[in-house]
Amino acid sequence: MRSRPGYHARVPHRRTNPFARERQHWLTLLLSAAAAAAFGVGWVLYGRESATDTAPPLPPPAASPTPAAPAPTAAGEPPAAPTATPTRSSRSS
Amino acid sequence: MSRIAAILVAVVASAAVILARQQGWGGETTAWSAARASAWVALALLWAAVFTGIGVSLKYHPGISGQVPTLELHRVTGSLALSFTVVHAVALVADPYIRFAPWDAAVPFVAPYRPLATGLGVIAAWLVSAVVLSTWGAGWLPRRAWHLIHRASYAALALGLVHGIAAGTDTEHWPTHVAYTAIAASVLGAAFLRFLARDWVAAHRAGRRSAPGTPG
Repeated sequence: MRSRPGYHARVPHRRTNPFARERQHWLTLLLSAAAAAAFGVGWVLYGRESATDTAPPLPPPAASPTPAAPAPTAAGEPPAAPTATPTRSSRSS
Repeated sequence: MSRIAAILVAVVASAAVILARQQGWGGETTAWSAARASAWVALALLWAAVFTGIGVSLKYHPGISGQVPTLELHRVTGSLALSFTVVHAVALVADPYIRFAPWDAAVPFVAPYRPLATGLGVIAAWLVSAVVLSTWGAGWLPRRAWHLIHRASYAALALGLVHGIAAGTDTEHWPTHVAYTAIAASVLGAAFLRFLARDWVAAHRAGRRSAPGTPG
């Protein structure tokens, strides 16, 4: 990886293109494959976590106390039931 | 070679995310999962690129000299960091839940989701792009200009870290605390050696070289 003696003295204002001297192709391939594999594994694991988050909640056990029903509105109409939206616990980006 | 590999990885992984989204593989949240995974991979690669870059600058990489070519490691990790940054942006645009327009992933502070934190991430992505692309074209750039642009990698890593802390709820998990702390501490320590203790490093390196039977 050492430049030729006197090279920088002849071309002091330019930087040699480091990619022109690449030799360790095995390292490039190995790292690319490792990074792609890490991405794939992370994708699958986060996908499983999201699937768990968006799964419908289990019904409460029979012995558990039921929560009190919400009070009707002033107009006497029953309040709208909360919609079951999928949750996303993690929003890391 | 690393340029071609980086471009191939970015294209193939982005295409996989878009295809999975269109085909419904992995459910509704598949693009979001890909965005999260690619963010971690990009951050880890950016950290590796900055850390090994400091080692290259100091000409000091104890224990691995002659076994792992540090300069090559630095180049490849930097290029791949840009690849997965692109994948991260593509996955966010592909995600139907967060509803990012393409310009939300490219223009700072206009995204609908946590605009400040997302904007810092967009700036970090542009800095990574500038650093990597300027290195790909280093033969055509004046050395001083390349060097100035290359210094932006420190800012890119810092902004990427702040973006990760502020934009995600993975931050609430203790392994994330450990990862962020390790990234910050290792780079701060290496930067201290690089900028404030360079003479000590040179003396230490000379001492190791003069000792018989020890690699430099």
